[in-house]
Amino acid sequence: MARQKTGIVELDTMLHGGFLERDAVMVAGSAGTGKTTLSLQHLVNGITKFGESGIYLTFEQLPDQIYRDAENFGWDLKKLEEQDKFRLVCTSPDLLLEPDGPGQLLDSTIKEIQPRRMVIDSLNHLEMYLPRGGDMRKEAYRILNYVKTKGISPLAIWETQQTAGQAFSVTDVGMSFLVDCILLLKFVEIESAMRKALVIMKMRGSDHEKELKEYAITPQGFKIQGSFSDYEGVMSGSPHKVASERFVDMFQKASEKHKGGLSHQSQP
Amino acid sequence: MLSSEIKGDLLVLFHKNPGLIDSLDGVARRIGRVGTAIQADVQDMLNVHVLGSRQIGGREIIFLDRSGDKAAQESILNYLKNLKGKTE
Repeated sequence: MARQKTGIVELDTMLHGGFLERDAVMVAGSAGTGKTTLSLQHLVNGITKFGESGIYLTFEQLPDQIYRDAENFGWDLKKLEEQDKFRLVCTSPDLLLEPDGPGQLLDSTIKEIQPRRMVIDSLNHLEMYLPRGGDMRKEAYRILNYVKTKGISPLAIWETQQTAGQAFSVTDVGMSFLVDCILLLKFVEIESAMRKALVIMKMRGSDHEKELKEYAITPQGFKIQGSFSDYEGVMSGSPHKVASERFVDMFQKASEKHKGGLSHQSQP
Repeated sequence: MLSSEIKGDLLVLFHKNPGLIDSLDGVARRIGRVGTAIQADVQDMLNVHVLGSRQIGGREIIFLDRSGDKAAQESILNYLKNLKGKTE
């Protein structure tokens, strides 16, 4: 099976080599979890590491903000555009929802740069502009299939409403069956600190790591740091140390207390 | 070219965001105006091929005509150079 690497080594390991080619991927998470950074990095790595051109389709955020934010990570999107390896397309979602919208908006750009990857930011905006009585799942299905038939692998962003402490279900999205792979990014509160966790919730046709991983947004971009192996209940929103870790903690505290007591006794 | 404030705003918008492809109302919203207020200026810019247009679902969409815009910039630059030559 041909794989499409993200170029984020640890994530590709979790995906057992990368996304399956032409699979529709959803990156879901609440505001501030790094969905845009991860998606942009997937495109930039596609161009710079694997020679695959890419399109970033945005509805709300103007391109100049995206150029600026990308620059902070050292990604020169304007230069990639000049080299005809990247396009940042900004439009209104209602135009994409027109019967001939995807073709009219994207065909010329696709011909220009022959992309293999495309980010759609975001499905929530499409939903906002859906006419009354419209079926979001049908529309999203149509648009994702248009992208796939052009030989491009779509990655769609979905902003969830959940905050730290709440569980997430793929059925909350209501469109989980449309996509082949779901990456969930989530804030978790552990010992009074906000940390970020990533999990692969679904990957059709392939095995993948099921473990929850901690990640951070660094000056170089998305960085996966390790697992939450010392904790249980991270996804459910009430993380606590696993029993063995609690025992070690209790033992250490008792030992320190004991030492403290002895040192007090030994003082004249 | 810069005979109105709206044309200036549109030029800045499209130069900063060359990948913008939107309806008249969509473009207007992005510079804090309504479609009817920018219609005449957009038409002027279409006439000189700085902007291009096509139809989606019976609606006109507007985008930066990259080659037309480049030609317009070169022609303005040449005009300014000639002007400078005459005044020297």
